[in-house]
Amino acid sequence: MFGKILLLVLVLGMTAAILLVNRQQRIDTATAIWHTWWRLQEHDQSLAQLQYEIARSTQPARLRLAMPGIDDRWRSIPLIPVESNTTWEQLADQPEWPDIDQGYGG
Amino acid sequence: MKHGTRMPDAQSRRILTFARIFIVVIAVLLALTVTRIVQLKLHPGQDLQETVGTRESTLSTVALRGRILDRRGRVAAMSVVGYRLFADPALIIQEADRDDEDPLATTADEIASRTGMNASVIETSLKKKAKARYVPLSHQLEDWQVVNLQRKSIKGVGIQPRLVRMNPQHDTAASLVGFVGFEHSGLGGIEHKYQQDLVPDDGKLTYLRDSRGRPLWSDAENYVLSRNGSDIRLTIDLAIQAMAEKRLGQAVKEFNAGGGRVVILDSANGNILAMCDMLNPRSGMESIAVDPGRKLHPALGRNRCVTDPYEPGSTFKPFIWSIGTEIGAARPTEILPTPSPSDGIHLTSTGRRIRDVKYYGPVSWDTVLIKSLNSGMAIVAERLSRKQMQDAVKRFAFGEHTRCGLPGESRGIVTSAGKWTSHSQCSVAMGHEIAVTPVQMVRGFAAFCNNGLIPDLRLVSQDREEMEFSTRRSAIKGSTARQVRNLLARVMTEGTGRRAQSDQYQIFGKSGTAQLVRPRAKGGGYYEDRYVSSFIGGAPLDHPRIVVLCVIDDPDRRKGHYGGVVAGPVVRDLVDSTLSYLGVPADKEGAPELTVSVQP
Repeated sequence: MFGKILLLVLVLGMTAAILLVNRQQRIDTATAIWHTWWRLQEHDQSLAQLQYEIARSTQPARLRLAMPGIDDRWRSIPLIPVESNTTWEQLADQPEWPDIDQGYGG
Repeated sequence: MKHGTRMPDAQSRRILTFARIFIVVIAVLLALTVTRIVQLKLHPGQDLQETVGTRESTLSTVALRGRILDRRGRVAAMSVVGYRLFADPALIIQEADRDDEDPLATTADEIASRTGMNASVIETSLKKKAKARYVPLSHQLEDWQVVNLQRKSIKGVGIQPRLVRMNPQHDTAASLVGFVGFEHSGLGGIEHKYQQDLVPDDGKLTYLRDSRGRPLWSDAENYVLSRNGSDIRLTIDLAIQAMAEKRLGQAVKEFNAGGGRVVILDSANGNILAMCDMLNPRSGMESIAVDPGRKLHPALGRNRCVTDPYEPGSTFKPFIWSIGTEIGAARPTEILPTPSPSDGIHLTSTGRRIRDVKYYGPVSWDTVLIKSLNSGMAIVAERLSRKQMQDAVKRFAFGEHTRCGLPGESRGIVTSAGKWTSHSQCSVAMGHEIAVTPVQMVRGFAAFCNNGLIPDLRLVSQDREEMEFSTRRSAIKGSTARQVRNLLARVMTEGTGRRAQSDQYQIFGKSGTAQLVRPRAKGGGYYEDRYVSSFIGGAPLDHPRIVVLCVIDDPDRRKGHYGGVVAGPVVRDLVDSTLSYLGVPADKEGAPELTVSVQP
C-alpha cells in the first residue's frame, strides 16, 4: 500500500516536471518567434532603405559624373557616336550634350 | 541487535505510521495544488481579473507599397519605413510626478533635448490637445533622433513606424509617376492609376503574453504574412526621360516659350520611352495653360501630352498625303496646278483663298509634301469626298483614345460628320480644324515606321514579352508607308527640316507651324502672332526604331516660330542621343562608327 502511494506520488511529480519543462520550451519558442519577427521587420526596413540609397546614388547623371573618379580609365559613353580611333583623352573631351550655342548639326 | 534479527514491532509500527501520515499530507497538498490550478484557470478571483485583462497582443508588420520602376529596373518611386513622433498628453498628465507643476512643458523640454526640435512648438501642440490620446509631433524623424528617443523612454511619448514615399530620381518624370498623400494612397499619375496593384497588405502577429507582456505562445494561424504591393514597371527609360526633359527645357528657355512637350516612342513595339511636359511662366504674359495642381506639386500637374490637344498644322499633311495617294486621288509624279509667285494665292472651288509660305508654280504631288504646300493639299483634298477625308482621319486613329495608361486622356477634337463643310475639307488637309494630342500624333506617325500598322501604345509594361508588337489596325499599305518615309527624308534636305538634319542618322520628318487657338472667353479664333511650333520625326530611315515629337507652345516670335527652326533641332538632338543610347548604329554615309571601346 505504502509502495503504491509512493509510486503514484513519484509518477505525478515526474509528470508535473515534464509538463513544466514542456511549458518552458514553448515559452522559449514563442519568445524566439517574437524576436525573429522583430529582426525580420528590421532587416526588411533596412533593405528598403538600402535600395533607396542605391537608387539615389545610381541616377544616370550621377553615374556619368562619378565614373572617371572611380577609375580614370572609365569614361561614360557619349551620347554621340565617336570615331573608332578616338583616344581616351579625346573621349573625355567629347561633349555630353550638343551645346545649342555651338550650333551642332548646322 | 544481532545481524538478521527483526526490528522490534513497536519501532516498525511507528515508522509505518509516520510514512503513512507523510504520504497523505503530500497527496493532500498535491490535490490542493491541482484544484487551485484548475480554479485559477477557469474562475480566477475578482482581485485577479483586472491583472489578467487581455492576454493577447497583436503586432502589425508594416508592408511596403509597390515600387514604380522604369524599363531597365531603375527605381522611380519606392517606400521606406520612417518613424513619426507622437505623444499621449492625457497619459503624460496622469502619470506625472506629484511635484511636477507643468508635466507637458517638462515633457516638451525632454523631447527637444533629444531631438533638437523646438520645445515651445511641442509644448503648444501638447497643450492645445491636452485631453487627447494621440498627438503627432513630427513628420519623419532622422535616424539619430530615433536612436536618442529609443535610448530611454519618456512617459506618454512614442515613435510610430510609417511609410514614406521616396523618389530617388527627384523630379524626373514626376508628373508621370504621380504623388502619394498622407495616407500613402496615390494622387495622380501612375500612383493613382495603379493604386490597387501598389497597395500592400500589412501582416500581423498575435501572441499570448504574461502580465509583464512577455510572449508565451503563438499559433501558426495567428501569424498573417505581410505582402508588399506589386511593382509597376514602366516603359519609360529614365535616362532618355532625363535627356528629353533637359533638351526640352533648353528649347523652351531659348525661345522664351510658354511651354513644351516631347514624346519619344519605340515604334518597334509601341512602348513610350519618354514623355515630357513643361510650362514656363513668363512675366507680363498669360499662361498658355491653367494647371493649379502643378503649382502645388510637379507631380500633381496634368500631363498635357495626353490631356491637351493642339492643332498639328503641317505635321498632319503626311497622313492626308498617304491616303490621297493610296486612294488614287493623285499620283506622286502628277503635276498639280499650284500657284506661282505671280499668282500669289490658290482659290478653291468654293472661293476660299489658300496661301503658301513660298510659291513654286506647278509642282508634283511629291513636291507638295516636301515643300509643305497648302495649295497642293487643298487641290487634292477637294478631289476626295467628305467621307473619304473623314475616313482618312479615322484610319490613323485620330479622335480615339490611345489608352496608354494615364488618366484624363483627351480624344482630341475632330469635326463631326454633321458639321463637316467644304471649309473643313481643306482645313483638315492642312492640319487645321483638328486637334490632336501628342500621343495620338506619335501613334499615327508610327504607321509610317511599321508598314502602315498603327501600334498600341504602352506606358506600363504588363507583359514579359516587351518586344511583342500589338497592333490595333492597318492604316495604309506597307508600300505607301515606305513611300511617305522616303519623301519625309527629302523634307530634311529639300524642305523645312534642314535644321533638323543629323550627322549620324537619316531622319524622316515634318515640321508644323499653327496659329495658337484663342480661348472662347477671349473671343475665340486664333491669335494673329502666336503659334504652336512642332516637329515630328522618325529614324533610322530604312529600319525605323523611334518616333520623336516636339511641340513648343507659343515661342517668342522675335526669336523664331517655325516648327523646323524651333522644334526641329530638339527632335534632331533627341534622335541622336536616344538612338546612340539604344546602341543603334548610325546609318548616314560618312557618320562615324558607333563604338563602345576606344584606344587606351
